[in-house]
Amino acid sequence: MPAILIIDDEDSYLELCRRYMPEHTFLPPARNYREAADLLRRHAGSVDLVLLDVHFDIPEDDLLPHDKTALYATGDKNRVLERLRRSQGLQILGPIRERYPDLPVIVMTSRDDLPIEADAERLQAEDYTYLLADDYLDARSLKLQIDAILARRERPAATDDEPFFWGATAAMSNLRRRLSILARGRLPIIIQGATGTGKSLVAREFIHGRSQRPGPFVAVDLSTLPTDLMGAHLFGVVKGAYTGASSTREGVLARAHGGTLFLDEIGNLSLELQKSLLLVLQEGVYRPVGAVKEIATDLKLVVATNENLAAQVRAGRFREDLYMRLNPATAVTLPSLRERKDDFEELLAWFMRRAALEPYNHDLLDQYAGQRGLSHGLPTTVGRTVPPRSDARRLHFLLHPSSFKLLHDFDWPGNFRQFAMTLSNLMTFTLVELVERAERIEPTGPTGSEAGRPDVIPIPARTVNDLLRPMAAPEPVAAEPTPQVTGPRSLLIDLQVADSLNAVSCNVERQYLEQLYDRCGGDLGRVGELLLGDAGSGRKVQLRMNQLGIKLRRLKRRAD
Amino acid sequence: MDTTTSDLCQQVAVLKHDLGKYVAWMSANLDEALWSGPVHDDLIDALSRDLLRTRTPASGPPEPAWTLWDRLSHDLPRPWPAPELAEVDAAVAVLRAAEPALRTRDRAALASLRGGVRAAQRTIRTALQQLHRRLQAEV
Repeated sequence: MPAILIIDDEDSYLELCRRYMPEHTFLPPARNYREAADLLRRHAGSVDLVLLDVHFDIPEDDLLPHDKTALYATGDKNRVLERLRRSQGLQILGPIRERYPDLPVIVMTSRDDLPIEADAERLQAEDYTYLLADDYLDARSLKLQIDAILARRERPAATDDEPFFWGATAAMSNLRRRLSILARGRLPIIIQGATGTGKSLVAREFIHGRSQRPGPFVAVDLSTLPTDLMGAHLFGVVKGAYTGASSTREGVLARAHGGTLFLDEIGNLSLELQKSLLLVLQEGVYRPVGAVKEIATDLKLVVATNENLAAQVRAGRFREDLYMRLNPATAVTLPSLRERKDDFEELLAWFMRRAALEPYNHDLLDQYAGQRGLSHGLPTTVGRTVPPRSDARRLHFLLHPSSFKLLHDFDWPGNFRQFAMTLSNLMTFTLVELVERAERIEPTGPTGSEAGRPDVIPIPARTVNDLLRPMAAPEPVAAEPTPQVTGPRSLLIDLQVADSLNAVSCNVERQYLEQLYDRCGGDLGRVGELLLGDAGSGRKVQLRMNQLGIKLRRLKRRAD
Repeated sequence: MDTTTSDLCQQVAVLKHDLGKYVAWMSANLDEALWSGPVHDDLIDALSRDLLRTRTPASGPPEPAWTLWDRLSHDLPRPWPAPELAEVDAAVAVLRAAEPALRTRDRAALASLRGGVRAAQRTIRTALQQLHRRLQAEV
């Protein structure tokens, strides 16, 4: 049930709300900012809405701001205090907004009562801040407003049609709302997260979709572009700018005009190009390679990285001014699959449903349904238990509890990308086997075992094992042939004959870095931390891997 | 800016918030049916809350609407600097007359008084709202 916090020095709102909205839960009211902050901290994630009064008849010590010296210097202390009391709600709103930017707050005052016009404009411009429409509170209007806000908050949890699974946990709901706010704004967005966490998907499907920008979504993976061609690719080039520039070509910035530009692996941008990108953010202009004239552009910039940009700045590899312009205070980090154990079961069900929509699996499902006398295009479910009743309106994939545990406990270094592909394979292999031996399946017998029920499709534990085994990280401890290798921080190196000691050394280092990369789930920052004790040294590691000829994309694909 | 008008505007803002807002806080939300026919407990509860405990400060006893009006209008010049204030003054007197009936929960008396009380509540709200808007426009 939604919980609502009332911040009011009296019980008036509480009385009214309890009388006219018995279906909602109201927390004990907070009488001042201190109490409100405390309640919000204690009920983090479970408060869905705040009702905030503006006038607080409370002692001087409880009034915000804490330091009133400057205010007292402006005039009569009593008048200052009176003004503060009359507008205390607005003082309280500030720190709440800073700490909980997407928590809906209804400011319970009429526009006429706001101290200055700018306050009304500011409040109305803010997302998730609502002003009551009436001078005098009407419980029905308030109820309508509250119900509408709460309904909007509940809707995301149930969305199944989005390509990214947000789930219903408080952390993911907050992340979703936060991104939704950022998407509508003009400022750039930094998305952080390990490989396969869906950074590019979120940028394309969620942020761009909500940005309300008419232009296209253009994505560039900077880790795949040779450094010397990056400038031309991004900013375009004029004919004759350099040898080989045989024609004038527009860059991705031109293509993204009016839309969203997504720069993946922003840490790969050279310092020189960082300066050019800074100009885009500061002035809204850029200059194609070899051009004299600047071109104006209007785009929403979204950048992604799995490195620590702040550490890059400290190491002098990323411009501080660009970093600050990228709006680091609002950077969002997409959690890995390992960090989403709370809603793993829902994630499993969601990805299985999506796997069932893939054309090959869809055809197999229809084939299976046809063989078992069921309708085509049936929806699918997945679970660890057999549904008590047969239901010809859906197909239920039955996962043995041990298989579920295997999937649940697996490390998933490739995160959701790897998870989705594994489940898709799981469905395919299960269905192919079933379709091929459909003729041999006994019709439902009097005992009604799940194997005979046409609506239940058992996923063989062996198939789960077969799919996960090749992807499992190598055992850190090897008894043979290197008995001295022990502990989780050890790696097994396969010695190979080479032409020179240098080649042997490179070969060893290559294996070493590749295995570390896999073990760290593709997080170069973690590799750097393991090797150099500095999470900011991921870029150093990446450069070394490049020198050794290690292709990161190959490793990523292998992980998936 | 005219200091007198500005001061008056601030005083009226306080009146509008403290008296206008809370003088019909619960009763304005009552079902229409409760304002006619037998006097229901919900009506008595709402009117008692709005008129006898219009403001309930954290320290000190609850203030009835008329006590609140007396306190907040004490510093206003006489004669009233705006006709709306005279309307409010008269409306508050109607509320004050209902005090004994409310305190004793006298249903028969309240049945005859409730129409006037409701009209007085509306007058207070409307007059203070209009006056506040007018003064805001002037300052």
